[in-house]
Amino acid sequence: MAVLLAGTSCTPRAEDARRPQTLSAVMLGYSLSQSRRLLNASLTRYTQATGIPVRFLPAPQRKPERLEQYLAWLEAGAATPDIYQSDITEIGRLAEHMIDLRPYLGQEAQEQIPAVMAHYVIGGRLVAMPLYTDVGVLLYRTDLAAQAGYAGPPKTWDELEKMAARIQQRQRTAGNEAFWGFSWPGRAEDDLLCFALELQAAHGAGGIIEADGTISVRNPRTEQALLRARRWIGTISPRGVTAYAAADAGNLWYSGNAAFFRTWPHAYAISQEASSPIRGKVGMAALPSGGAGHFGTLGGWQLSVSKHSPHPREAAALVRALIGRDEQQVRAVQLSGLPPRLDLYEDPEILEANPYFHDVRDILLQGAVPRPTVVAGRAYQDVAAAYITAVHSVLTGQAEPQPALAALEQQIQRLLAARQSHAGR
Amino acid sequence: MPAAEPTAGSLVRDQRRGTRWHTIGFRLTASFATVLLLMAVGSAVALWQFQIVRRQAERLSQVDLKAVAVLRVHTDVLTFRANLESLVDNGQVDRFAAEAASHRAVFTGDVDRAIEALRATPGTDQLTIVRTLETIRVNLPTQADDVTELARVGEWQAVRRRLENQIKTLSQVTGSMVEQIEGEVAREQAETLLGIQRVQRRAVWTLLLTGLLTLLTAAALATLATRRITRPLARLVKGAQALARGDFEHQVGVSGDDEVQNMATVFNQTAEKLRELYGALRRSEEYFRSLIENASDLITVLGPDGRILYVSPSCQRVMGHALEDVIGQDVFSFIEVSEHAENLRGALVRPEAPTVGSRPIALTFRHPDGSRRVLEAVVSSLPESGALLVVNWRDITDRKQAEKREVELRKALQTAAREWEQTFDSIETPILMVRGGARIVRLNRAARDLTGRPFDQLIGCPLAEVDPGQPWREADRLARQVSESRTPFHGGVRDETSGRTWDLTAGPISGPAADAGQVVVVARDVTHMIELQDSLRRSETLSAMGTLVAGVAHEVRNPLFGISANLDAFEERFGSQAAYTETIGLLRAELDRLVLLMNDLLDYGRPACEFPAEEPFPDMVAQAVRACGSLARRSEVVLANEVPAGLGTCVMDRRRMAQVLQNLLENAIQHSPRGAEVLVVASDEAGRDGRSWITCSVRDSGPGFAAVDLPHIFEPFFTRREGGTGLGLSIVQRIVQLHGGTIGAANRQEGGAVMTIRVPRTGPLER
Repeated sequence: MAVLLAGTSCTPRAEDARRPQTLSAVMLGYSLSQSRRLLNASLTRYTQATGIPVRFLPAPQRKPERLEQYLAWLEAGAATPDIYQSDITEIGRLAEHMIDLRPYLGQEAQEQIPAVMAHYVIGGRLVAMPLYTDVGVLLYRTDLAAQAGYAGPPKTWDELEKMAARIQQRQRTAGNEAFWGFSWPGRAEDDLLCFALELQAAHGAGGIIEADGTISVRNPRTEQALLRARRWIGTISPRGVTAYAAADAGNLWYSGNAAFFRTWPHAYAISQEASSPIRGKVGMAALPSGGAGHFGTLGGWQLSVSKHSPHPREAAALVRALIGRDEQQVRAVQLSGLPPRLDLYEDPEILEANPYFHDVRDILLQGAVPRPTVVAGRAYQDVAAAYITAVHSVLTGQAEPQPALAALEQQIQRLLAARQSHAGR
Repeated sequence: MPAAEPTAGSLVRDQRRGTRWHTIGFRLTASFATVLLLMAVGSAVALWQFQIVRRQAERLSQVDLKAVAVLRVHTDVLTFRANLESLVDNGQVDRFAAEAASHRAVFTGDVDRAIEALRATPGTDQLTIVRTLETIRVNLPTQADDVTELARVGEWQAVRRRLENQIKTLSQVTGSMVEQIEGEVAREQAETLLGIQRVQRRAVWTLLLTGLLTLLTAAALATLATRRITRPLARLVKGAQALARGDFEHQVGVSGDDEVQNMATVFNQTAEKLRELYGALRRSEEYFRSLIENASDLITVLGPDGRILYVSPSCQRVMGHALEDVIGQDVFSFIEVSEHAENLRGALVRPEAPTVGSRPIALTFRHPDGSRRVLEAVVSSLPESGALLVVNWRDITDRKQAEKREVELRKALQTAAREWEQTFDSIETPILMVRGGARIVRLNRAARDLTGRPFDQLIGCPLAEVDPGQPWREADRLARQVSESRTPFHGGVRDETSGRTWDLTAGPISGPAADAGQVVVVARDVTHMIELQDSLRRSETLSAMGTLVAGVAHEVRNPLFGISANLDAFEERFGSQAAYTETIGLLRAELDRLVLLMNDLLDYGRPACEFPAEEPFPDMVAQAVRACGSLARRSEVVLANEVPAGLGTCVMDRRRMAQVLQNLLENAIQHSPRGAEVLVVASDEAGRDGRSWITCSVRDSGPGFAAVDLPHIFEPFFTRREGGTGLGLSIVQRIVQLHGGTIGAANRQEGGAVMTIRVPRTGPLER
């Protein structure tokens, strides 16, 4: 900070001009206390090693606004922030504004899971490095399941419905009127897309747009999957669950008032925090099968360095400091962030903190459903919005699955056609 | 200035340049300039430092502003959470939604303001805060939307949890932002304070150093300058004292070339000059002394008490006293008491008195031989010696006596001249003395009165130019004849304009050369005498003629009467016979004509003023106008009497004078066309001879007189009228002339005739 103030009042010397006065990074997890602790520790190390102070910045929490904000900064040529944390579905849109990290992080890139890294090499450039990867999972209350006479998590959605209803019944009877069997994000935003995608895939309905361009939304299995979810509302899930963002679903879960919770792995660490009322009563499992197997939507977070950063070398060094093996190990232990390195899934320390990491690794490697970002390209955000709207309208009962999905298919076709003609030009 | 051997030319230049650099004035100016410069530099540095302090303070206030803006955003988040939490239990969706929207709006505005404040002074750290603000500007509304939607679907529990967890986290973000900016403020304050202290130290040191330097410089310069001045001054004082003692040989040592050394040089030159002057003075004194001692006039120097301090050797000759008898004596013991002696005494007391240095005064000395000698004294105060007087005496006894005789002679002459002048002026006959070219040299009062011009205009004026009229022209002619022939001439002349007759006599003046060529002209006014002679002659003629005419007329009337009686008798008898009727008519007409002629002749011959009396002129006119009234009416002529009632009186035979006017009026009426006007006017008039007149005119609009007739109309028996005797106007003229008046006839310019009579008026004219 002293450097900064001096910088405003006098001309810096030559070496000072090369050295950044401060770096800044947009970090999403920073708003969570545990995550902040971890990040602060990494930063302190970095600052001690380089003498460069770092500032973390919050980002808009909802996806469309976030992307919009990022693009606004990047297109304006903003020198701050230097580093952007983005979602795996967003990197395609941001890639052109990011530097190629290969000169700085070529070695590290080799060590990550290739399937994950495939998302970050765009146009032959390494535009990002994974912070941690993600896949949709189910959290369940081990204590309540045991009380209800269940030995493990449900294998199918039918089982989950039964278990949830039963546990809920028991809790209600015990006087907990606010208790619900299954908490999930029903609000019309990205988490709903992820959940619907998993559900659809589990019922064998495909992944919205297949890699060959086939649109797989208008089919009886998708209808079946959506009608199943609509059944939950008011029965095993809150009547207002269609207004629940991921945070609300989490709030319900963390308060101990839900038996099942559709979420991401980091929720396990939060559930296990010292202050948590459900600490030690939580299990993590693959999402149930709808007949076609266990699927979880592939997520993941990565860091990129802005082309407008005045100090790309130092920024890349900071990225390295944040995604190093040690950091990923600590992140897995403390935040149950899925490391993008396979060897870490055998790490005893990690497995001790996260006994279910083997299962999660299997899901990651076998049942991860990617969102159609690659095939939809620039049209992805519009496709996603259309999908979310259609699903939400079915869930809230505003529309019936068949016509809604038919309309959605046409809409996606139009969007893809528009994208292709746009690309053709 | 230790320099290389200079050439003659460069030496001069060097000295000049050296002079400029070495002058005390220049050095003092340079010193003051240096001191001022030092002070200015010090002040400028101090001012600069204060400017820095001001800038820092401004920066600090800006940081404060930013901190306040960020703090407001943080407060907004806290308030948002607290307010919404309090509404959750209430369960009123609309109110909750409205509250959330209102908070959202306030929050957005505050964030915008905070961003603006931060952007005013960009910096990397501030940019991170800006970025954070930009993010939460999106996030809080998102939260507000989310909770509002949750509230709408009745998920109050979810709302509560959201407020508890996510929005709390948001407030932590803003809280850390506040911490960050507050840290920055604190740092900024600390730095500014440090800067200000540094500046203060710098300012104090600068001022202290400047002050000290200024003092030292001033002291050093003052000492140098003073020493350069005081030492040579002491030498100069010594030199001046030597001069005061009269030691003109003393010289002051000169070293250097500043002003004081220049003064020393000038002092030495002055001393030399004084030495020369002193020598010159001594020589001059000897010269003047010898002059005084050999002068014929007596020169004395008097002390304030009148004692004679010095007397020139001519004392013996003028005063008759030996030098030693006079020195030390009171001057007044030799002088007779007089007004001038008192003046001299006054001059002794007051040397500035007007007597001193002004006109000479005459004093009477008592000579030892008993005679009185008049001495003229010129008194002057001895310059530079205060009360001492120098008196220059000259013996003017002989001159005084001559002057006295001259005065007596002049007095006698003046008396004679005055007597002659009075005599000359008292003569009532105009007398002039003229010289070559007939210019007036002298004239008496009567002559001046005659011209009506003042003396000064007349003296030197040629006679011919005094007045074009007589008698001056005749006088001029006579004077020329006399000056040519040097014999007396006599002449007479009548001035027609004034009606006066002059008898002129001119003769040469014989005497001393000064008066040679002069001519005396004496003019006598003989008008009255001539008039009397004329009047007498005319009266005699008229009287004789009137007697003759009246006698003839009387003698003719008797036979006429006889003829008339016989004609009556004849007509009585034969008048009815046609053969005689014409003859009788012819005879009768001729007879009437003869009777009329006889009456006129009788009238003509009758004395004009049988009954003279003083009568008002207008009354007489009125009488005549009345008499003509019926004739005017018959002739349809308007008769207008415009004679003013207040006109004066005349001595006249009223009946006869009325006959005159009546005659004129009848003539005018008879010659006037119908409807015309006959006008009578009259006025007073002063004549040139001092008498007053009444002029009366009768005007008509008739044909007027023929030009050839005009000279003859007053001649007896001249007439253009059928049946007229031609005596009418002759009678009129005779009557007017017998009253001492005149009559004239003329044609008016606008047509018609005008007859004008002019008779003497009684009494003076009052105007």
